[in-house]
Amino acid sequence: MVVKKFTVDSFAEQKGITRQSALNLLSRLKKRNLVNVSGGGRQPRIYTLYTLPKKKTNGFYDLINTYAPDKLQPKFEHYVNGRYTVERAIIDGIIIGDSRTLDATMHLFRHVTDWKRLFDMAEKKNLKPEVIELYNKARLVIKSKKMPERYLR
Amino acid sequence: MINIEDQEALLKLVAEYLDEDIECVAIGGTAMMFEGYKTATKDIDLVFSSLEDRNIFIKAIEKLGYSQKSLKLVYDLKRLQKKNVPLLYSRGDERFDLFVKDVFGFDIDFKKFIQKHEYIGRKELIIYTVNKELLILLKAITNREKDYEDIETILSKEKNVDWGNIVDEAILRRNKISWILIDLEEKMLQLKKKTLIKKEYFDRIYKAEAKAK
Repeated sequence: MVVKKFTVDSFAEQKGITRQSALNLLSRLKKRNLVNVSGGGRQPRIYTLYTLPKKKTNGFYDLINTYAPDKLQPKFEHYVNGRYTVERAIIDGIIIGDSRTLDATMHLFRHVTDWKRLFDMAEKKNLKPEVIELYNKARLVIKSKKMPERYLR
Repeated sequence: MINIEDQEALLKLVAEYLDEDIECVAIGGTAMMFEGYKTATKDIDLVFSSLEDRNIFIKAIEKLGYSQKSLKLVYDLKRLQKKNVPLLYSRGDERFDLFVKDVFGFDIDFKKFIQKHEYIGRKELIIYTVNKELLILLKAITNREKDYEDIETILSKEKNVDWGNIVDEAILRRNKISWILIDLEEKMLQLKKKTLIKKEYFDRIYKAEAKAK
């Protein structure tokens, strides 16, 4: 997939059209999932153009990069249909399993709202000891929520 | 035919009818749709890691009115003679081709994926997609009507196809699938008229085929 990055001015210059026409064209391409926009506000908008339609991901890496201070480079594109929760992301982080991912996953313990959901999922995937181990590690390095005692046993 | 939106809605619905969480790999037109190469497909091709997972999926789609169909009109005799043939389920225009572990002897690695699509319903349906090189190779070996057109579609949208990787993957599987190199070479010869494929890749195929014989 060929990827090119533009600002609205560089895109207009390359296409030989006015700024307004460039904005209209980018808007149409965006509707076809061929453009992704970043920036806005004080930052200039950067438009990433794809040759293939690119749906916006909404999975593990999007959630973890919202909460973890050290951002992760996605190893795969993750799309979720349905409710993707922090608890599910912790399990996915443990399954991916490399040290950077685990370090980032620790930051999700601050945002757990349903410990039962987390442990139900962990039990289903046989990852209960790993969840407890990661939680204990997280408690040492970041300020995170306290897990109810019953799950630590 | 089924388009992207219908496919997403259908898979979400299937997830509501599953009895257990299952994982599978999408190949063929489904994977092409996920990766943006095309907008509609005739069939949804899925490879499951176990027979149990496929049975759970079948149970769910049967509840939605899908029924089993014969393979004979879809696949040729050479493929039907393989041990692990797919099961076909259809309802109107939509069809599922359901494989287990491999596609006519071509093992699918569940760890090598580039996209993960999760459908969270009553249970969870996770669908992985493979890279474009593997998609092309699988299209070359399933050899159904329109498979060649699909390879052309991928090549028209992707300029950086690693033919070395495709040939290597095929050579690796030559002992298990005796016709894989012949089918791949046939497709590559056809494609050579439309895209640049270096001679060295053909030479590698001929050398490997001669060695295997």
